[in-house]
Amino acid sequence: MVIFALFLLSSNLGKRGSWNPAEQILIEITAPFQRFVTHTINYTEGLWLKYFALINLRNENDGLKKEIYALRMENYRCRELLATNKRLQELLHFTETFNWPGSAAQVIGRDPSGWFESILIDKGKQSKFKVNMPVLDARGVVGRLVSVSPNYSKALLIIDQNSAVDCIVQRSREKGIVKGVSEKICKLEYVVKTGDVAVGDTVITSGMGRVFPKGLPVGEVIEVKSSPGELFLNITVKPMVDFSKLEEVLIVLKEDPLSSNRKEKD
Amino acid sequence: MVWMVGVAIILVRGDVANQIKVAFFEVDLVTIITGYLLISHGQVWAGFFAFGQGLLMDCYSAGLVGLFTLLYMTAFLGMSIGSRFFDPNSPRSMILLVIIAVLVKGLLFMVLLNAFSFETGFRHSILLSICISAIISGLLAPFVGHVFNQMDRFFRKKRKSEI
Repeated sequence: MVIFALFLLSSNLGKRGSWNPAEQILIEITAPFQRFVTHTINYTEGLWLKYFALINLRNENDGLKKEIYALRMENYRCRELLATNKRLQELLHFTETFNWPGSAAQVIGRDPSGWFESILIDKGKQSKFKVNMPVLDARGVVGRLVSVSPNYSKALLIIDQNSAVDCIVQRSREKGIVKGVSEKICKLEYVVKTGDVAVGDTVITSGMGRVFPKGLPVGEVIEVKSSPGELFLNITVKPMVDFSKLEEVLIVLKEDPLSSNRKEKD
Repeated sequence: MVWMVGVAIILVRGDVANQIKVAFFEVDLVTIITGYLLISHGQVWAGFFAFGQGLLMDCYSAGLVGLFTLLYMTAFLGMSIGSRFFDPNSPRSMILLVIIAVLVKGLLFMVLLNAFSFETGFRHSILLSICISAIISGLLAPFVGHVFNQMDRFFRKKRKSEI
């Protein structure tokens, strides 16, 4: 075999041509095997790179997804904090307009009966809250505290049928009492027919009821009717506060003005 | 477990009503559960449940103290008396009992509102909403009872397997 190889070498010295017939036959027979081997190697390499190596990629993908979720949640929290901050700042600006000290509290529940209008807030006696303290929002009067426990309080909203707030019309200084009718509407009662009240007038607290400080916005007059045979005007007031979106409220820390007339409830 | 469900209903109810505004057309789940307890656990448990849920409702509501306790006890008494005339184990009787209880409760509520001179008054729309609430609650009562029965069986099996 060595002699045959030497013979092939020496006989082809100086020749550079294509494959001779014997070589061609050899190539034709062996090339498919080579192609198979190459494909197998390529397939194995591909499998390794595209599958086994993807296990890490998959783990990495899962990690990145988790990170995205975490960042998204953080983003929501930040937005929520920003919104809360904005609302609290509005409350703070509102408190600066009068001299009473105030304390912000979170609304944690609503009246479950569906018939009455009250809210539950997350602060109570420990925050020096007492019965009949005014409850406000950045836009106006919300209600007053009616029940207080060490850590929670219940506030009666001005839209409740049992609520009555002594008010005046800001422009004409006409006096009346705002009573709750529904979530969107109150009535300004006991304004005489000759009273000067027009649609668009702002209704504010009079300070006469001794619960609310004077001058706090309560609502806006949206309808004035004068029915024959009645002594008073029929005035509909839209509250300044959107009670369906109450989240934080401000409690004015003033002594219960009605406590001198009755025993302390709390 | 039934107590937990009852408490959860009262705590969540206000927020849900605020979101979807169906307070007048709501399903009176507390009355339905009282009816279920009356049939499955007897008068004592049902009465105790109605009383407790009423007290809890009074605490969270801005209404008169004792108003909802009285209303739920009235509903319980209505069902308790009604169960003597009907077979409480049949779904039809259950539907009737709950409808009667919710109607009686709603009507008493309206009478009390007028008696204590609230401004609501006796309006046809409120009466209609009470009737709708009673019918929906009644129709749902057998289904809710079935769900509680299934849950009760599941927890009993679980307890037995633990022992």
